[in-house]
This record gives sequence, C-alpha cells and structure tokens, in this order.
Amino acid sequence: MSNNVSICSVNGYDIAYHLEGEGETIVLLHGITTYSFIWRNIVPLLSQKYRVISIDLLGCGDSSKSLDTDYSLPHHATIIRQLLRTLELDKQQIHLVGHDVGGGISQIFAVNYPELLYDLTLVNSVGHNFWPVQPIIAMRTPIIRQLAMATLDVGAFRLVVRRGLHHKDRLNDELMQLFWKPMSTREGRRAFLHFADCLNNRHLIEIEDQLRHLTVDALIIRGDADVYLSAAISEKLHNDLSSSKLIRIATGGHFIQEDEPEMLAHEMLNFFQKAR
Amino acid sequence: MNHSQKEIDVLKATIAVLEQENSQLSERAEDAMLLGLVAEAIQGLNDPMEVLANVLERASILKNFPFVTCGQLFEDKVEHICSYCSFSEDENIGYPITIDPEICDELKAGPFISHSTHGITTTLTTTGFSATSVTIIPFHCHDYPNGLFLFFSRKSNESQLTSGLFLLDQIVNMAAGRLNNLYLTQQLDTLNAGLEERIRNKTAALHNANTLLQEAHKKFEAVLDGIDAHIYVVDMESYDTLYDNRKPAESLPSSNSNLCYKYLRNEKFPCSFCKIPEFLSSAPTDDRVIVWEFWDQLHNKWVLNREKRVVWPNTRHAKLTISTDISEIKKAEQERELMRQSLQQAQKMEAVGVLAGSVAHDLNNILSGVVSYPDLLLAGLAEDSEMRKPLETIRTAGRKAAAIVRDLLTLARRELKIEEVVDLGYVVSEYLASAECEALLRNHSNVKIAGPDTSVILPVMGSEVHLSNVLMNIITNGVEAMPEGGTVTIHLDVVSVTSHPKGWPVWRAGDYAKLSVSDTGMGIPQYLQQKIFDPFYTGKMPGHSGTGLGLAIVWGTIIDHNGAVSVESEDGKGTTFHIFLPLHGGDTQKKAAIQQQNTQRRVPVKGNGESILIVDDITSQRQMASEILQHLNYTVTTAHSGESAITYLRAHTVDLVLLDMIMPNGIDGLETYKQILTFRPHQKVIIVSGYSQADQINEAQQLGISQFVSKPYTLLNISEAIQKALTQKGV
Repeated sequence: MSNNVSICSVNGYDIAYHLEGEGETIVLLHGITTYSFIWRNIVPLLSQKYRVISIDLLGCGDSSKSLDTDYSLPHHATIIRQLLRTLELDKQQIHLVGHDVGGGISQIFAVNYPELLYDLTLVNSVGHNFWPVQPIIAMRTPIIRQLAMATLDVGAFRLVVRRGLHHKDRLNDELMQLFWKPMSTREGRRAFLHFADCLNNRHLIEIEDQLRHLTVDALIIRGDADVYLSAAISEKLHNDLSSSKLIRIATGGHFIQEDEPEMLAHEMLNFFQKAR
Repeated sequence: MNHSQKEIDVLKATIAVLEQENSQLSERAEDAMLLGLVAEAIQGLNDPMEVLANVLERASILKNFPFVTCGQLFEDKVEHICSYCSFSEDENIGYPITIDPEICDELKAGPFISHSTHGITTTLTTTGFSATSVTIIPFHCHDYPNGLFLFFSRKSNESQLTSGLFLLDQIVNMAAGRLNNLYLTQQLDTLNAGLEERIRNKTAALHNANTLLQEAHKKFEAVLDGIDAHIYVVDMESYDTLYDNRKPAESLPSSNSNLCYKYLRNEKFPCSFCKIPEFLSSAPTDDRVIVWEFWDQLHNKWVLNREKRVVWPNTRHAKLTISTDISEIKKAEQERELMRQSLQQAQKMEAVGVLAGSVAHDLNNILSGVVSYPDLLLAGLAEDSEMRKPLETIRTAGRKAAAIVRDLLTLARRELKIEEVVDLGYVVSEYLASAECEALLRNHSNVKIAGPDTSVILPVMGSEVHLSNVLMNIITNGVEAMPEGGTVTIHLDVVSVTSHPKGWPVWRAGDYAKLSVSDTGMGIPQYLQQKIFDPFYTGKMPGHSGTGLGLAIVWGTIIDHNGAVSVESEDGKGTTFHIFLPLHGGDTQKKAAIQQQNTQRRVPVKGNGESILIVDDITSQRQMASEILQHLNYTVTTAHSGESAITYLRAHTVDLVLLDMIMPNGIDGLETYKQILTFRPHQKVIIVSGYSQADQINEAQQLGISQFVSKPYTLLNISEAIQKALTQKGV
C-alpha cells in the first residue's frame, strides 16, 4: 500500500484514502482503534487484480476529527457513499469489505445501496446487538476503564492491541507506532473518544430485517482467536444473510489482518472470483 | 434450609460488602494510576499552558468530566486560562463564567461541590451540554494566585463526587506544584542567563581591560625605550637589576648575571661610586634625588645619573636610576666656556677701545701741533740751520706719540677699513724688506728671520697697513722672546675650514690664508696663553719695550678682518702664532699692482690758490690748519663753529670746506654738512677728526663728503686729500 495519502472533501469533511491498482473496485473499511493502516498487508495482494481503496473513517487516521458531527454508523455509510460518488467509483459495482465497526457500516451501506455491490465481506464484524464490545461500552460508563485509560497510556493501549492479536509476537514497535499514532495527539484522542461515544448497536438492530432480505453475496470471516467479539455475531450474520459463507480462521485474532494477511486475502480473492 | 438460607444471606451480605470494598479499592487503584498518568504527562513539560491542558484532558477522560476548565477568579468572574471539552474544540467554550459571591466565599475555605449549576453562570447550555454538578477546586501558584479548576459533570451522585474530590484535589495540587516549579525553574533560568550574561560582560570587560592594560604597557614601554636615557631599577639589597629599558644587546651581553654591577658595568664588585649605601643609610621615606655625574670609562662618555628610591613590587628597597649621556652637553659647555672667554676678550677690547677712543681725540689734537709744526718750520728753514736737527727730533717724537695713539685707535677699531684686496705674501715680503724690520734685526743681531715663499699670491680682504702692523707686532714679539738669539720662521699656507674651529669667535666655511710665525724662544706657559691678548698685558720686563698693546692689536685687527688668531706654545721650546684670514678670490694681481703704486715715494701736492674754509671749534687747530693750507698755497678762511660756517657759506663761495667732526658746543660736523647741502648741494667737504665714530663717518660718506682725514694729519696726507677732493667731480 502506498504511503501517499489522498484527501477528498465530502460534505465539508476531509476524508483520507489510499487508492492502488486497477480493475474492479474493492472498498476496505477499518474498525475502531485502527485506521486504513490495518489493510497495508492485504492491499498489495488485492491490488494486483483490483483497484483497492482503503479509507480513513471520519475521526480516524488522516481524516477530519471534527467533534461537531455524528460519528454514528449510518453517517459513516453516507459519507462512504458520497466519497465513492465524488471519486466516481460508483460507476461500477464494488466489492465492499468491513472489519469490526467497519463491518457494521458495510451492513448499513449494503441494505441502503445494494445495487452498488458486487458482494459484501464482513471480517470480525460487529452485528445485531452483540456489541459494542465491553471496552467500548465501558467508555460510556462514568468510571475509569481500560480503553479510556488506553487513550492516554501507551502501556494500557498496548495491552488492548496485544489482546486483539493471536500471534502476540507480531506486536513490534513499528506496529505499535501505527496503532498509537492517532492517540499521540489531543485532537486524535478526543476524536477517538467521540467516535466510541457515538457507537450505538441500535443502528444495526434497526436493519436486521433488511439484512435478512439482502440478496448480495456475503463472505463472513471469523477469527476464532478474537477475544473482543464473540463467534455468535458471525454465526448470526451467516444465518441472517441468505447468500453468505462463513469461514473461520483458527489463528486469527480480532486484528486478523495482522495475524493472517495472506490467508485473509486469499479467501477474499477466492470469494470475489466465485461470486462473479 | 432456613439455616442454610440464612447462611447464604450472610454470605451474600458479606460478598456485597467485599464487592463494595473491592470496588472502592479498585477505584483507589485507578485513582493512583490516574495520578501516575497525570504526573507522567506533565513531567517533561515546560509550558504552563501545556501542563494545564494535559491535566485537564486526563481528568476529563479518566474521571469522565465532559467539560473541565481552569481559570482565575477576579471578583465574581472567572478569567479563562485553559479548558478541555470532550465535545467541542472551542477553546473558550462555556465562557464567560461567573460565580456567585456566596460560592466565592465558600471557595476561600477550599474545594466546593455544587450539585447544580445554581450560582455558576456559563454559556454551556448553548452547546447542548447541561451539567448537573460542578466541582470547583481553588489553587494558588505564582502566576495564578486566584486559580480555579472547574469540573463540569453530568453526574449527580453525591458520594461519587465526594469520593472523587480527593483525587481531583491531588491532581490540582500536582498541577499547581508543577506550575510553581516551572516558574521557579524559569526564574532560575533567567537568573542563570543573567549570571551568564554578567559573566560574559565581566569577561569581556576584563578582556578589554587587559587589552587596554597591554596597550598601556606597550605605550609605557615605547616611551621608556624611546627616552634617550638609560633607565633601570636595582634591588638595593641584592643588587639585582629589576628593570632595564635597554635591550640586553645594548647592555653587556657578556654577563649572564643579573647583578647590576656585572650586568651594567661588567664589574666583579659593586662600583666604588655606587650610591646604594647612601640610600640605605637614609630613612626609607627619604625621597630625595641624588644627582651626580661621572666619566664612564667603560663606554667612554660623560654620564649624568639621577637616582631615587622607588616602590617596587616584592622588593623592600629599590632604586631608580635615570642615566643620561651628557657627553655632548659637556662638549657644548666647554665650547661655551671658550666662547665666553672670547666674548670676554672682545669685551675687554671694547672697553679699552672706548677708553682709547675717548683720550685719542684730545691727544691727537695736542699732538697735531707737535707733528705738524716741525714740518712747517722745517720747510721754512735753511738746509744747514741748527734748528733743523732739534725740530726733526721733535717731529720724530711727535710721530711716535701719534703712532701710539694710532695703536690705541686701532685697538678701538674705529678706523679700520678692509675694503681692499691685499696679497698677504706681499705684505710679508714688504715688511721683511722694510726699514723697521731692518732696524729690528739690527737691534737683535743674534736673531734671524726665515721668510716664507711669497711666490703664491694669497689674496685677502683687508688693510695692508694694519696687516703689516700685525706682522710687525708678532715678529717683534717673537724676536724679543729670544734674548739668547734664535730664528723667527714665517710660513704661509692655505687651509680649508669646514667646521667651527675651537676658539674662533666667528668663522665661515671655506679657504683661509694661514700665516704662521714661530720663534724658538722661551715659550709661553699654558695658563698665560689666553692672557697675552689682553690689552696692556706684557710678558716683557717693565720698561724694556712695548706698550702692552701689541698682541691686543693683533687680536683685534684679525677679528676685524673676520679672521682668527691662535697660539701654540711649549714652555722653553718656542711659540707659534697662527693667523687665519678668509681667502679672497678677486683680481689680486691688479690689486697688487695698485698696491705697489701706492707704496711709491710721495710728496705734498700744492694748490693753486683755491679757497678753503676751515671749520674747527679749537683755536689752535684752526690756526695750525690755516698755516698748513696757506703753506700749501691755498686761500684760507676759518670758522669757529658749524653755525658760523653756514652763515659764511650762505654769503660766500668756497672751493672746499675742511670740517671738524666733533664740535661739542654747537652743531657737529655731520649736522653742519647736512645743512650746507641744503643750499650748496655740490659743496666739496673734507671731514677731519681725531676721534670719529664710524657710523657718523659712514653717514657723511653716504651724503657725499669728498674725503675723510684723521687727526693728526701730516702735510702729505692732507695735501693728497685736498687734491683728491678738488679733482673729484661734483656729486
């Protein structure tokens, strides 16, 4: 993935993205505590045959961190839609991939704009009311909890990241720097907390019915070593999405992109081809 | 069952207590962690605003206060310092904030929790945020003496708020402590910077001072080195040379010792003339200066030393010596002494001259009769008259007396004219051939005179008569200095003078004719060599011969000729007089020919009855002059004063006026002449005087007098003067 960040203004907000490769468009959406960097090991594998755009969600990475707006899932989905239109990536259908809350955004995007999708891939995604995960909820409680402290304490943050990985030894300084980068500024920390504050599983419960009627092919990838999201979410999504496939990867933690990038890319490429 | 139920209830109660305790302990642990995080966050920060921002952010995030702010209380207004708001980026959100006076009073006692926003006015409601409680913690630090932290919360649980208060208080104290530390550190830095600046300034000032000192030292050294004196300082106890303004090479490089007598004088022991003992025997406060001079044989020069005690670092008794080479001054002093002697000599001559001049006039008037009448009487006497012999004797005696007076006048230098060029060799040869010289040798038969080679012409400006007289005087002197006989040798030479010869009153660079007259006589002792030129000094036996004026005349005459006289003499081996006269480069042969013509035998020239007016205030002079002029066949009229002469001349015409210069009772000769010229501008006049002042004669000559004749005049010279005057064309 190139280091060159592109910026596109969407509804008055700067949205950062990386665009690489030629072919059908794959849109990659990250989850909470990460940003587009989480796809850096996947993009090169996908961009050999596809045009890959990995996006920094509003409030994350290099995108705007304005506090005067809603960081809710539907709003994110709207912004993604606008971005694709602005970049004229909506002329053809896309392969939409979401990780974590990016998976939630993808679900909302899918039910709202099913005609734009070739297919939908949900990687360790949130779903229904089985989320937010405990640490995220904790931030909205009036007592100090792990993640809140993690925004201020690199040691605590390291623990959060470490728990998300199956291959603990992959957490080197370089990776830690990538994760920590938004937390190193007051603006980044505040946006992160605002991002977490805006999460509400109500938005996914509301689309449960629409989801069941969605006919888009779906790939559900579950890292069995994910300690933050339960396997039940993936299983329920697999049940609800009529045309879905569930793949479980035993050695994948919550941040499965770090644990098993090749395996992940391989399954995705297989899926994209078969779906066609 | 009941029992077990009861046990279960007890256990449940116990668990509840334990859970509560556990919760409290967890909270305490989290508080501790929070404090740790705050401490860590502000640890390395140096900006007070950054410290506050970090503290506020951490308190907000970790204790879940959506809005926290820090300000300073002025009366009831909170002035914004720094804020953290979880839902806005606006730095001044919530402001202006005011606090009721009652709460302000409460704050004086310490932290204050308000379970509503009552009494605390903000603009937060406009943002959609509504606080349910506010925790206010006052703080004091140097920059913010009335500081406040305000924590706005959505909580209203009193116990939670209260339990959190302790933590917030700790955080605020930590922040205030850090701010004070920063202030003190800043002050310290400022002081350090000031100190460094002062040190830099001081160092620069020292450097400048040092540079100035070095410059001053160099100037001082340059001055000392430049002074034409040897300046040195000696330790009077050790004799060590402490300072010396001469480079070592100029001192005595042979000596490696620092001891003054070795270093400066190459002596093995302190010098015998050293003044150190004298200084050491005097009081240390004695600041007298010892000035002394000595002949420095080592350096072959006269040295003047000025010495005194000086204060010198690390030395109890130091002596400063300023040693000046006064050889030139000494030489100049000697020359000055010689000059002084010459001047004295000249003054003596002048005094004699004045004396001689004052008597010469009277004597000449008296002698006029003795000299002139015999001529007149002899002219009227028969060749075989018995009176002829006594009259000739009287005439000779009178002439001798006149010669003495002439000597006196010569000495007075009132008559000398050095307008003609004469050949010194001719003067010498003429004298040696003269009757006077013959007579001298006749009287001293055991003496010979060895003449010089006179073939070379040595032209000098001067008076032949006077130079002959000089020669006569010296030769006579030499001859008479050899009573046992001997030889007087005369040499003529030419010398070049390029610098002021010792003992010459005046000199000019150029060639001089040198006339040396040596005798083989008894010599003149050294102490008398200067005195012999004094008037009336005579080395001869009294009554033997000489008037005592001979050498004085020689000296005066030669000085008048712009020459010089020196004498060399060795007791018992003879004396040599050297006479130097400026050599003249004119046509000497022609002059010599004229000279020769002048020496031919002359006879009085008689007139043809021309009319002559004699003006003289002395009757005898008038009478004698009129007899002489009548004898010379002139028609004579007399006048007894200048006034009567003028009266006469206004009425009559005469061919010539014979005018006496000095007539004390009326207008003098010069004035008479001037008045005559007013109505007879072409009147021919001869001025006659026994003692006439040179400047008056000069003036008269410039006015056009025909001739000047000195008294006593002879028949011959007055006749010649009258002839010259009468034959001269009118002016």
